[in-house]
Amino acid sequence: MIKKLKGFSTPIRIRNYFNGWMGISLLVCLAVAFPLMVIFGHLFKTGDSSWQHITTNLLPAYTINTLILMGGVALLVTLIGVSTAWLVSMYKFPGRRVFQWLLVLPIAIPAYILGFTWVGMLDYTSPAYVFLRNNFGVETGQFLFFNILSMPGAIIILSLSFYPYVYLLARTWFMQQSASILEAGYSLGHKPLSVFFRIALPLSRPALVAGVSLALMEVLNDYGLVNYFGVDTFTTGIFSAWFAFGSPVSAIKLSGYLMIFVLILLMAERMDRGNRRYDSVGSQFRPLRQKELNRLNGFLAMITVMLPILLGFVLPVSMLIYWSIQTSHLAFDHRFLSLLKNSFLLASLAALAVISISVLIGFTVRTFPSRMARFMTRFATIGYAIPGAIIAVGLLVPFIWIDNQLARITGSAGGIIITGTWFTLVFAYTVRFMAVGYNSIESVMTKTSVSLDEASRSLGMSNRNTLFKVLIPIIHPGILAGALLVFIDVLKELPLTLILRPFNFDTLAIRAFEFASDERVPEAAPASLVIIFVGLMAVLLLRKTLKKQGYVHHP
Amino acid sequence: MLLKRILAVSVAAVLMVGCARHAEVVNVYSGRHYQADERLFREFTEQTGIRVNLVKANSDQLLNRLEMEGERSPADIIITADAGRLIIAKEKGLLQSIDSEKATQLVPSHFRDSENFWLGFTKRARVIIYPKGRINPSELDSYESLTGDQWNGRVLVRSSQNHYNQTLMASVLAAHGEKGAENWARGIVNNMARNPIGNDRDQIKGIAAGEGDVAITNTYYIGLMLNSVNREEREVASQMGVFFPNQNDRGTHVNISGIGITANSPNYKNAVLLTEFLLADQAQNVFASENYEYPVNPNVEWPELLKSWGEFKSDTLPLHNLGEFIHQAMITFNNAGWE
Amino acid sequence: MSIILSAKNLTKTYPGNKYRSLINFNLNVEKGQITALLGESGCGKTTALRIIAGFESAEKGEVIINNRVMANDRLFTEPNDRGVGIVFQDYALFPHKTVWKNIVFGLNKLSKSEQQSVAEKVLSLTGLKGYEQRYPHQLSGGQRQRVALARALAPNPGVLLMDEPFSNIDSMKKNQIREEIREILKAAGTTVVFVTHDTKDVLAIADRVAVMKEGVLMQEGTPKEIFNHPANEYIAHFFGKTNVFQGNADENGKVASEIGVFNLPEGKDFGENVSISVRPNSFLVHTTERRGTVQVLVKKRIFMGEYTELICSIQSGSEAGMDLFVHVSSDFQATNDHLWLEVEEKNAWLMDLH
Repeated sequence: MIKKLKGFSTPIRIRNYFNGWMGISLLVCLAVAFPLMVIFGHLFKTGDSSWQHITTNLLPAYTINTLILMGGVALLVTLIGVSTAWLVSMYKFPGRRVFQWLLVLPIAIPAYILGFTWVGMLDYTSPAYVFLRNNFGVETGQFLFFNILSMPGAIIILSLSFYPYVYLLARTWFMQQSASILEAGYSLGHKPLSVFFRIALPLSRPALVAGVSLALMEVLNDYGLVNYFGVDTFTTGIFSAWFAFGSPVSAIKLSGYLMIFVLILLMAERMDRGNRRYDSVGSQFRPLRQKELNRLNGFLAMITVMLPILLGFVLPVSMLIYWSIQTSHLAFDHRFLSLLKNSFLLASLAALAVISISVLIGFTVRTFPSRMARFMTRFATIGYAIPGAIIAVGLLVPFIWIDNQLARITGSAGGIIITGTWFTLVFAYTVRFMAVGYNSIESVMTKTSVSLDEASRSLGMSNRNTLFKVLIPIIHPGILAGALLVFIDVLKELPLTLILRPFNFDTLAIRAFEFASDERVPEAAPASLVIIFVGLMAVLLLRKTLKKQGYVHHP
Repeated sequence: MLLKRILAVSVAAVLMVGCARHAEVVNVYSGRHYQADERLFREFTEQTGIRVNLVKANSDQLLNRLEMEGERSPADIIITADAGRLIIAKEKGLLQSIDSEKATQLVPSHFRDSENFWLGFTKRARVIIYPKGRINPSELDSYESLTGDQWNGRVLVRSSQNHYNQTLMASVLAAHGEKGAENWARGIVNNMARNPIGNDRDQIKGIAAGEGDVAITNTYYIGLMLNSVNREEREVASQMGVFFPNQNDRGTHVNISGIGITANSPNYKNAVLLTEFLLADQAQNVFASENYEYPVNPNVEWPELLKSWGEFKSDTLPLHNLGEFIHQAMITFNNAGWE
Repeated sequence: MSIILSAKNLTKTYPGNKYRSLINFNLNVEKGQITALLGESGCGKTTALRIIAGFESAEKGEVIINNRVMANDRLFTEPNDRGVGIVFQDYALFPHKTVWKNIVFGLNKLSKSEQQSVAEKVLSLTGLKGYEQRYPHQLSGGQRQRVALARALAPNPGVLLMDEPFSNIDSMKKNQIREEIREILKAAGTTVVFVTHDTKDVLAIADRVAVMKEGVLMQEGTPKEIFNHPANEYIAHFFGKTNVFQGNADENGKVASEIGVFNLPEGKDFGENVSISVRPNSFLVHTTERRGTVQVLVKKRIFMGEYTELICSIQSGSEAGMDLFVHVSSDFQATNDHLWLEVEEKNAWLMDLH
């Protein structure tokens, strides 16, 4: 056995207030948050004449619309996400194994494409409506069944598009609950439904909150879909200020208010959660056993689980395939491969950047917890709620400044060096999608006992070795899961890519958008399908990863 | 390991950037996103050896990017699908005069800036679409006549967020002043068949579905629908008639897609060449036959489809005069309650 | 014997807390000794352990291990440089590494062959031979604990810290495992500090024990000393069942109570009010009335195997209504429900009221 003697000591004040980890994390947070701070800074600028007009005439109604939309989506994604997660986690019914993965699929479809597709499926010239009209004389106005271009329509489409966030997190959560907690509920005389509402639902709150807040932030930054659906939200106000009133200042100022709103929402949830804990403390872990359902109930469970898959994936994708066949001669030209390559590379790079930063910051907060560190991470992750176009403005400010300085130093007269490069785009995605990556990393880190790090430290490992030799190997499924979510998000991303991309640079999402915005939805189908296909590959990988996650530390 | 592989690929990708410098280039920020445009740019490169570098995005965002980039902006040319944006770009000092007799003489004076800071290169008419057979075109007259009681609950039009509507409003403001324009907008809102939803195509389908009887849209979309891959959509479009309003007074409102050369254009000479190319017969023919837009070049013969809708008188008010009204347009819409 | 670990005046307040978790904590541990920190949860015992390990820093005080200052108000040595081994409550075995890899994890500064020999040694010490290639999830709870122990022992730490080492063990196996662990620790000759809330752990394996309450170390000594001579009522109750009577001291050092009159020990002064602790098995039980006894009524008899527990209540006097626990041999037969209890001077422990 060895005798360990050597070591070094650091002055204690420095250790308490500052160290390399905190320093670097802080710098990274600042860099990521800088564009957001630019937006924030606009709050203190005086508004111009259009600001006056917008705030008095438009905002009240737009704000109410936004709240209705958020409320509706929150309710619906919770309902769909939690009930399906509960069913596949708790019960055995035909097809459960397949359904539990199919339920994730809608995440691969960009919300605006889902919207355009559903309109195309229900409008006057859609195959379904034409068939029903010609054969059964069905006439329900311009759209089949109901006017989908409306608030309820927007709520339904956005929910179908975003419920997988809730489903994924809730399902992982249920899987990690010890059976004994739920059995305790049954033994205290509660019926299954009551166990669901009184134990499972409150218990899944952290997962629910994380999932719903991701969904709501997506709702807040959406412009394409609400604009097409004629639902004027706060974000419509932002773009109206910019595009219609020609006042970018007002637009950014409004985004600043949006940021404050999101921050308050997140903080309120944190405070309300307080010191309550949701992991099963000290209990022996016993995985859930699915209960067999009788034939009728099994059938009902199957229908419940199939409905969101059908509406959120199978039907729209079938429609897209139908359109793609009609338009394939237009779509698959020689440049299609380069679109695919661009999309794929960009999404991979962004995922890598987001995840590296998230791991760094997550580890720092875990190892040196402090209020300031936590606030910094919250701030650095609200970019998810800000419309991409606004982030682009916040980002151009520092980037163009740096370019000017670079040009001054090198004495070159011309051009812009880093703005409009891949680097800008990847940086922008990092600002925008930090929340997605960081939340996954944070949740898998909280699930991993800190004593593992401490054991490693007591065995002579530095913090860095602890991170690379212990923590990362243990949480790597979670890391990969986070990376894949970011990958899928970047694949679907549009406004940032549009404005910040280099010359002659197209992605699949752009190709799809250009046709769709030209009201040529069928022509947009092939590119959409490929986005979905690549997204699907990522989901499949995600599935493999999540399967492995059973392999986490249980005392 | 997967991570390492991703890292390697990403380093390679970053290194790739910045290579491939062409000797002669022209850098274009375009608010139009048509494949026909890109084909024409490739054609231009073949003819002149000048490479066209292109960024396509929302025109307001492009203007903002141009403004922020300032004197170091790489952009030579800005293209928008709406005159209003070019007027704003000139106001902000982002453009310079296009010094080309060859180009400017091809554009009628009311479709270009008074100092040639921008030139229109295609036109779109905002017309009234009606169902043939159900409505007799003699019932129709002007944008203003749609506010009459007989059209109550029958007018379909999209939201005021749309640029085409905003420029239309600017032209109404020019014709009738603030008060008159607001009254007109109120009249239209009163007669709307439903809340303004969807895009121009949705308005036309709304007629087919019987939700309304007339729609204010661009001719361009009828062209697209007539050539749609969806048979039913072609069917719907073929039942529609195109009516050019205000033939008895100021003329039908026409918007343009326009081109401007940036104030700090690093490749001014090439930018002028591209501008001339877009106005020449070959390009103008492509816009007309593939995009169903009206060419501004009067020497170009219209394709059959455009001819079938007939000749019309377009609003003779110079588009650059709309500048003073473009900022008021949205406020008037809001005051009138046009969502 | 030389002192290996010394904690001086450690004080700690967690950020955001109003109260101090640890107040002027002092502890000296001699080489080879097993010391227990005993107390209810929240008493500061784990905080003390974490400060010694270097996972927390104290706002005041000093930690010295092997004559090296590890932390004081100017210096802080990182946990990886303290030469302290730890066995965590949840064992914290690296789930992605085999037993072997877990054990050699802390030996990365040694050559492969040295690693081999050290690991072999601790494996045989902990009886884990044959389990080298297993993963933690393939082991039983007791085996996991031994892996954690082996891993912590392998780098030959100056001090081994253990956090609630037996809390995750089935109660059926607890006695056996306590014995095994004590044997391993003694065989390794390791100096150990462990934290527990269970006096049975202390009595089974500790050489010395420090009792803590609300951040304060209340008493330190051998388990026997503390069992027999608790410093106050709290400790007396903590170490098994006891009966506490109230007494009044006079100026001559005599303490009068319902259960008899006793002399204050030399040099002790608790003030006027004194508590008297009598363990349930320390009573002399009479079936007839005698002088110097207190009369009780037997309310309940509980058969406990080797003995019977009587729950009695005092019928009269200043302690009337108080319930007493009295342990008598199982063959004790009483004719009626009235008993008279007496306490010899040596079995009455006088202590501070609080």
